[in-house]
Amino acid sequence: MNGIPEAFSHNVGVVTPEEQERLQESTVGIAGVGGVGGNVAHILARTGVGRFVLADPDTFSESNINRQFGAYVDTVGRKKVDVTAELIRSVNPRAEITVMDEGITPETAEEFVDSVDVVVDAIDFDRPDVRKSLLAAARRARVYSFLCPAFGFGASLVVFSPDGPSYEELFGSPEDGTLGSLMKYSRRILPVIPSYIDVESYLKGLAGKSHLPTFSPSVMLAAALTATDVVLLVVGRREPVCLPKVKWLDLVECTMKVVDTDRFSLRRLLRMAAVGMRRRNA
Amino acid sequence: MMSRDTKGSFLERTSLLFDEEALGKLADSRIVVMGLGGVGGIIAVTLARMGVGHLRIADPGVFDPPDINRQYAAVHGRVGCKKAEVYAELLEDINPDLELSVYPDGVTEENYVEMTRDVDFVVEAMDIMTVDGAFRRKVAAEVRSNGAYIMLPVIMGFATAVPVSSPDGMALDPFLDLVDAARERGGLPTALGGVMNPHVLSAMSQHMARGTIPSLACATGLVAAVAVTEIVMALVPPSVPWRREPVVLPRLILADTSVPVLREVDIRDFAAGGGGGR
Repeated sequence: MNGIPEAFSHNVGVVTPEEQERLQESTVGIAGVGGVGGNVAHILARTGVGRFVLADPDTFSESNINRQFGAYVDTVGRKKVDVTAELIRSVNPRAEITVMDEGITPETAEEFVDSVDVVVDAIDFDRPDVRKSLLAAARRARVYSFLCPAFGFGASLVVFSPDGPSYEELFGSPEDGTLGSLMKYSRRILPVIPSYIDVESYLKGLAGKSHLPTFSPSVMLAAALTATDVVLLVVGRREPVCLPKVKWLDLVECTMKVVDTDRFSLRRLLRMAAVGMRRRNA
Repeated sequence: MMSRDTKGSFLERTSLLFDEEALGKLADSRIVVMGLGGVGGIIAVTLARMGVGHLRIADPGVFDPPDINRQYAAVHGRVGCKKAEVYAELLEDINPDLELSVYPDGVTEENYVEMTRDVDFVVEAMDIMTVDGAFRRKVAAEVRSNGAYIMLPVIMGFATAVPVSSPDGMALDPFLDLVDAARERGGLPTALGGVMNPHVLSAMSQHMARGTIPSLACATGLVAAVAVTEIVMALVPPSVPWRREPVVLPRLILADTSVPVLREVDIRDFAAGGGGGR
């Protein structure tokens, strides 16, 4: 197998040798290497993606250990980007990794998207301003952005196409914090509230005002779903499903489907929440 | 429902959905992971991150370079190291309170009875190519006679299948028959094409006919997610609000992130074909 390192030789069969070379030549930018972002970095490193740009200002804390790829008792207190870069290099010593340890800021968003073929937006929900700068910069650079929140036993994959609707068209201005703009934002990002989650914690979580319950299985699934679509996009096999359509899944409901968020209404969301409450009380 | 114990601990975010009873049940559970390859390794790590309190891990192998494309702990610096010992270190670095038994000789005729005694769940993730069907059947029968669950999760391209045998339900044998058939024929059951990506399915079968099982890391995240969720559902008490019955044979979960699909199927619809790879 010419040119394919032994470490990635077993990929051939799921991808072709030509596609494997394309993976090795591609650059993935990951903003936020915590739960989903860290696990996406891990999976993509093992697929043989050759270049990464990693941005995250945080250090690992103990409460990350339940779901984050680089989080161990031993790495608590260390910078997430440094640990993740080390782990990628241990998988692929030839990987080229750029680290931005101050995370993305409105000033550095351009620089971040500048060299990447695709953006993974795993920025925390309490930073809608940062997300807005990143997505705007990605759109100007004409690259796809993958946003992949996981909570409870569920996850979704939200993809912004450079040719699709803009952040403002889709979300309005969630950073103003009103209930109306928050609903507009959340119905796109996590379009289905699972029956076992109450609406209040869902909204507070999306507003970044409290933590959503997050743990390993749905984070792994979100990472697998994201990594799959990143791989299929960069090898040129297919375009992802993009906004206003969103992929949604839940491991309790045992369902994965494509949801058209343009057809989503507040009434429907509240009805689902009521069904969930009845089911819980039954 | 945050309990005093979890505030600031590694289970803090889990405890927003898992009450004390559910977390307590996981902490008291005993799980065996047989085989620490692309499937078993990531499942063992995920179980530790969920706060499972007692794990027994078994694998006779050492890391080789071709493992690096999919195995959670496989890195260049650990080529030649015993998998069981490397995972033991990782798991203890996740949960220092974990009670861990390590079997660096793997699952053998001599140790499988003892290994499966007094456990709640067995993850059978032994190497598809080297461990024969007769031994797998013996292990599964022993687990069943002890009243524990056993699952045999597999990955295939971007897909996973997670068959679980409940001690009160159907035995694992129909799935073992599919695995045997796949090994003998060197290919996957064509009926899977109705659920998983048919192009990946046919490319995989061509490679399997030549004796290699292709794989990609994406499916390892998927199998860990589905398998660990089913283990959690089997272990937590019915009083937990979000709990549902685990999906057990003859039903099983099939998922493929490239389609995308995640749903229950009936194993009897695949009876004519074969199994999967790791």
